Amino acid sequence: MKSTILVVDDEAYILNILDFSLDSEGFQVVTAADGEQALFRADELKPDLIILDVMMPKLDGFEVCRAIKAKSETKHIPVILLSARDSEKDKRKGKDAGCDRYITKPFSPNRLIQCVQELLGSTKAE
Amino acid sequence: MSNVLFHVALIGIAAVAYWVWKRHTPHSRRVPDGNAWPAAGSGELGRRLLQGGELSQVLQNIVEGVRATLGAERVLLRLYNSRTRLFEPRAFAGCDDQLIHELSNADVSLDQVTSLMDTVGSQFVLGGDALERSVFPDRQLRRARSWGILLCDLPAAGSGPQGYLAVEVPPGAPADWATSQEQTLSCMAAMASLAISSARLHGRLEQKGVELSLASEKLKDVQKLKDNFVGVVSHELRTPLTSIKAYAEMMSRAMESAKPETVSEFTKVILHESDRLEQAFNDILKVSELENSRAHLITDEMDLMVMLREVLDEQRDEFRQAELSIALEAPTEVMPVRADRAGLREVLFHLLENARKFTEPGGRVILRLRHGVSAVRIEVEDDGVGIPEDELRRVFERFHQVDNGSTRRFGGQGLGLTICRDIVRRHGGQIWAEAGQEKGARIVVLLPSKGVVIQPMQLKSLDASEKIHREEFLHLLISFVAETMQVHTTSLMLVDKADERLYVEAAVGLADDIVRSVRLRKGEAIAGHVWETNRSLLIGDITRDPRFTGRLNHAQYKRNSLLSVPILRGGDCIGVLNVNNKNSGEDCGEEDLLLLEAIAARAEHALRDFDVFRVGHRRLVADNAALSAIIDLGRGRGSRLRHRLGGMGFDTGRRLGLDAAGLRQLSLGLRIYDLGLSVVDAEILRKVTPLTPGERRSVDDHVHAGAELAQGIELPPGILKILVHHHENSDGTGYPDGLSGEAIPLGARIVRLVDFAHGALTDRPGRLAWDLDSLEELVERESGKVFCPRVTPIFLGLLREGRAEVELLLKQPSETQRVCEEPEFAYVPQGVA
Repeated sequence: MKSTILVVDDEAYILNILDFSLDSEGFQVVTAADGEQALFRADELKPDLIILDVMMPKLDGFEVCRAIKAKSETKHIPVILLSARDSEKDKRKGKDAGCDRYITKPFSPNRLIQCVQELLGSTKAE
Repeated sequence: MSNVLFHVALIGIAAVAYWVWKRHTPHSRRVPDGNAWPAAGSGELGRRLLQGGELSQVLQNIVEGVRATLGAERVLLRLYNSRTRLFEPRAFAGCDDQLIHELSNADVSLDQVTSLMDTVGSQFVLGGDALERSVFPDRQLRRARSWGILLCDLPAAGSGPQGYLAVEVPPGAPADWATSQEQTLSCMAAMASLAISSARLHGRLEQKGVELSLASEKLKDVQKLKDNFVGVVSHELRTPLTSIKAYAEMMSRAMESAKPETVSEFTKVILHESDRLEQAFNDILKVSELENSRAHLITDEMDLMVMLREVLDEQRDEFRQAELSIALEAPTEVMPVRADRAGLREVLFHLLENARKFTEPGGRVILRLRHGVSAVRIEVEDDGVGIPEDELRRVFERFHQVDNGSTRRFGGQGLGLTICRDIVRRHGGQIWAEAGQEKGARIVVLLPSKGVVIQPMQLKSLDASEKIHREEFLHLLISFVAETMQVHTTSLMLVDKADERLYVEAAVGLADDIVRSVRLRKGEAIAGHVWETNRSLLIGDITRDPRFTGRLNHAQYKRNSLLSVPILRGGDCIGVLNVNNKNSGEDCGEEDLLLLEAIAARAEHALRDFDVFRVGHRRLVADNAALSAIIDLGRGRGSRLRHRLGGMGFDTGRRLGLDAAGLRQLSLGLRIYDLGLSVVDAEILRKVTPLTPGERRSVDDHVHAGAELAQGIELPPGILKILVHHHENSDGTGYPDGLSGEAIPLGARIVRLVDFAHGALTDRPGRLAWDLDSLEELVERESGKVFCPRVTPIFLGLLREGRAEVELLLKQPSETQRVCEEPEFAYVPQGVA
């Protein structure tokens, strides 16, 4: 069965390219354009992995990540944070929120896909 | 009190320490002998020296300390105020209210003090006769023939005198007591000086503390701005870069397998995002360029309307896509401005873009243009998300964008308004943000149309203060004018619509008597001419100008040039601003005229805003007064004297045949006739000096205010008439309508007399109560002039009948505080219990 990946970003172009690249690697992709929608989708679909942009309207990526990791039904889902902020402070903030990977923008789609595969492999192995 | 000596010391003020006086001084020391104090008291004085304390408390401690140590009856301390150039009374000991009042109203000028010092040396006792001959104002302290003044040189003086202390010598002291106490007083004066300096220093340190904490707040703001900068720049530059990189990478990976339409779509995205990146770079560069002052303005005459239409056309598609309507409100087809073409276009572009970005689909954007006296006003208003009040100033800061807490719902760098601000400022204009009419935001740009610099108004103190008085406000306004224009002399004149005269409402550098006496008709003198023509005047030499009446005497003019500009509201002249005597000593020129015109436009705004505020405030006060009037009515509160006189007024009405309704109204009217005074500033009512025309008007206006209030609590119209007309005179010389004879409602005529009698028989600021004989004499004399000839004999008859009782009431101290539970003249219809 295809792994489902929830991709969250308020930038349509980035959402599209992530959709495109993950889809071409055989993943099932679901998208959300803001933090609230992301939480709703995560609850509803229980995806296998979530890719989260940090700077978004309503709820930012840190908050969404924290909420996902706080819930028993969703806390096992690996989260990759995508952020334009690359300071150590921000990376620590991401770790504190419970993310599994912190990738800074601009990112390489290939590298991201590698990362996704690693995370999914590790959860399957458990 | 018969053989009291006064002993007055002039004291200088300089260093650091402070005297604390404990009130319970041993009674035995009340009359010390000549030199006892310094030896016995210095140790104790040392113990009483402490640090800290507020200046007013320190001063009070000094006067009480001096009074008790020397065993004096009364002590007064005056400090020199370098701004007013007067010695102002600051602390009293042993003085009763009446004396404090008199002393407070006597101005002691620097000249008076220095001339005394010049005549008799730095330390001396001025005897009774010499004092009688001198013009020294603190003579009010005098209670007997023989007394003196001691003047002391200033210890460790900085620059000129700082104050003096006037001491009354204890009863029964020997004749040479004053001389023998010179040394003691000098010593105490030095101590006092130290104490005052210390308190002042303390005050300044506190002020510094406040400034420091403000600076640290500012630092925090800078830090926040820096964080914003990093966040915004990384987001705005990295987002398009992320897309470009990701799409390019995907394209190169899947080039062979990808469908042509995918390639074309990816290329489009890359190109679009490259444009976006470029725009972001340009904006950032523009801001730093503007801030580093490398950009030069090339100004040109141009038509703002043409440019606006161009910019509108450019953005029309975007507005359509965003489903926004856009409206242009402009009074004319052509609006010439002198500006930098590229800069102005940039400003318009950003203002429109901003409105578009922050407005939801279906919203509207309005562009308003107006031509002011010397500036063009551009407003862009939207009904979008708006700007919170505390953000209104900060939206112009670099990289500030409202709503960045919930992170960037709206694209853009937060640089648009920063760029606008910099460009507008370079044009000598102003830009600010306000809340929109219902919601949304309005950005206002004032662009000088003739190359004038518009300074931001410095009326900061208006922001916080709720209880600002008109006088203070006008003072701030006129100080602002003097400061901005860099002149010694300036005056603000306002048109009084009621009597069609132009009055000086506030002035800097003009003598008070001129301020009070100038009243100009339309066309009269220079300001009257400006009023008549609505046009500014720049006069090179007033002495040669036929309109110059010389009423503002020549001594006031260091230079003979004068500027006079109208303050216009909707085409009407509401006032005139006059300026002369530039600080630089030069004549006023064309440039000054343009600047003053710009200020006049701002002054009009400020005056209007202030009036709006006043109306609101007045309404509040009025509601409050109406409420307490209801309570008072219910309780029949008021002084016994007033009730007694009211009772006589009521009986007068009965004897003159007033009907039941008339009597009921009279009964109420007699209780609340001065209701309107609650709206008049208490400070004006307390004033003993002559009122300015403006103050006079605000007092006279109380009759209308009273009626308004009564209307507020829904009293019948008959009472309103009494309230409005209770200052009309029988011969037509009263106010507000100048009614005469029987045209004045009978109730109002009766209240006129009762009010007058009550006022005359009570102490008022600046004068003592009259006795009954003087009152009767005057009322009789004024019968037929001020008072109604029908009312006067009856009222006087009743007053004579009740004389004993009234005299008893007059003797009661502070009788105004008493409450009369049962009104003596309530109208009770017959047959009702």
